[in-house]
Amino acid sequence: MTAGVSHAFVFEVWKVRSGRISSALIFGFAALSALAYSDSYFSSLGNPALEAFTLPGAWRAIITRMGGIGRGVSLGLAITWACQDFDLGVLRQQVASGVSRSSIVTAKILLVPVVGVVVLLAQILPGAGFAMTATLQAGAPIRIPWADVVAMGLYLMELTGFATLGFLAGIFMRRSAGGLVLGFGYAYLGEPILSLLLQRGGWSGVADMLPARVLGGLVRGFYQEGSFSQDAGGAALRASASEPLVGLLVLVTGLGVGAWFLHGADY
Amino acid sequence: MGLLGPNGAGKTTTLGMILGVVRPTRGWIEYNCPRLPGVRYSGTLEYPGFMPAATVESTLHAWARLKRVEADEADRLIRRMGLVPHVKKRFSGLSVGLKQRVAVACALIGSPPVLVLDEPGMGLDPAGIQDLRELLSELAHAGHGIIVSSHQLDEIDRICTDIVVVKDGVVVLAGSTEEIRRRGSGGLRVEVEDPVRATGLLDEIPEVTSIRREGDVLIVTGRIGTRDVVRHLARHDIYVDGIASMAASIEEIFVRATRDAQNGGIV
Repeated sequence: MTAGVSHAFVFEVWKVRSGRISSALIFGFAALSALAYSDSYFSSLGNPALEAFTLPGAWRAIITRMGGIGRGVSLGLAITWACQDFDLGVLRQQVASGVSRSSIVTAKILLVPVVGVVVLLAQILPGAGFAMTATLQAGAPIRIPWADVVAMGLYLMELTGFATLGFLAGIFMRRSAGGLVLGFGYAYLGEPILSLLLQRGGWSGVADMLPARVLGGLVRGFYQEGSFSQDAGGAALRASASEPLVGLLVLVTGLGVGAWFLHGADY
Repeated sequence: MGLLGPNGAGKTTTLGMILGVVRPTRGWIEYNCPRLPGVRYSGTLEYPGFMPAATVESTLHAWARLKRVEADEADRLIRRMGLVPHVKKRFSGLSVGLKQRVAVACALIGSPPVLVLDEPGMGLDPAGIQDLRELLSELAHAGHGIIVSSHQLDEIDRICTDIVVVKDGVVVLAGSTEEIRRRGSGGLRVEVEDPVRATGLLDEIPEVTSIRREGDVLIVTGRIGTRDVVRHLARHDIYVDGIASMAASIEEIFVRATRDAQNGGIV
């Protein structure tokens, strides 16, 4: 990373931190996750009939339980972050200040995975906190099976993928309201309809390649392959390698399109 | 250099292209300043775009980091722009004039060889305008090239050595302020006892292009000096009570240039 890009990246992080909506979204999601996992923790304490919220068994719940909301938060966060540049004219000001477009665009592209990481942490940390407490109370060792690490990596890819969709919607629409309508409308309405139509028309292969569908099913598909808290994860990993590859392709293509579009746009 | 033009003439678009914010549809921009590494042009366009929740201090420090200069320079500009009492205020809480000062301070970070300012005096109080004028003079004397657009023609007149007037994206007048003022001279104001006879006599001079009578006063235009008029009339026993060159103001020249352009002529 060149010095110009690293400075532009630090500036992007500063912008996200300075944005009230972004902070509210992240802290709101972390609070919601804490609430959900605290419910799992306290319910299992008071009810012996329920499975204890202890590690390593709880990892799956920690990763998947808030997945739907997490993807939405990632999408929304990327949209608000991408649009605030246009809403507030900060991007314009940056370029007018003599900072190169290439540095700015590269920094923005690098920040998309960071959005995924932040959302992942906002979800995982509260859940892991409660699960670790329950595990320690039960006197069991805290460990994370390899398969759950992979699942977490796939979930990060899901979140980054949805952040990429949000980033694209944001830079195309340039206004938060428009970006939110396009981003959420596409991911949760447009694409499912399109997918149905493609399947009815005998284009199931194409429907399977639609970005939100591919990205939204990585963790679900991975866990459905078998019991990954056991040692049999390796074989199933190989069996389900194609979906992450397609997901990665969608993600890289999305970021490439975003970079190309942003680099050539007027601010 | 002052860039003038009526609303919609293309001033902001031109400055935006110089700053790299707007992509030219065709053509290119040449500049005659050393190809220094880093910032060449820096400036601000119309409405300054900054993070509303960030303080003045953090904004300028973040911008200094972005432009890879020490925070000391940001602090120096905070003092120079009279922003010390406002450093802890959020950008959203500043008056229009103070926002403009922050924008100019940001543009000055990194000491760019060419400074481009779009309506820098917008929203500034008289003291602020005076400060800005002094600052721009200092910068010009320090060797900075400055391109400034403004609707405050008297300010342009005071601070600019060159002027370009655009209308509908076309340059209709360009040159040094001195030369333009000479070209756009409003003529001579001649007070005589017998204006009727004086008109006839002056009309004989080939260099005189027009004579307008306002009571006992004649407004004479053409490539003729005060001495020529006095001599010519004295030769015919007409004594001049008063004579003065009517220097055209930049405002008059601007109005004339844009009106002529509307009628199909380019000055």
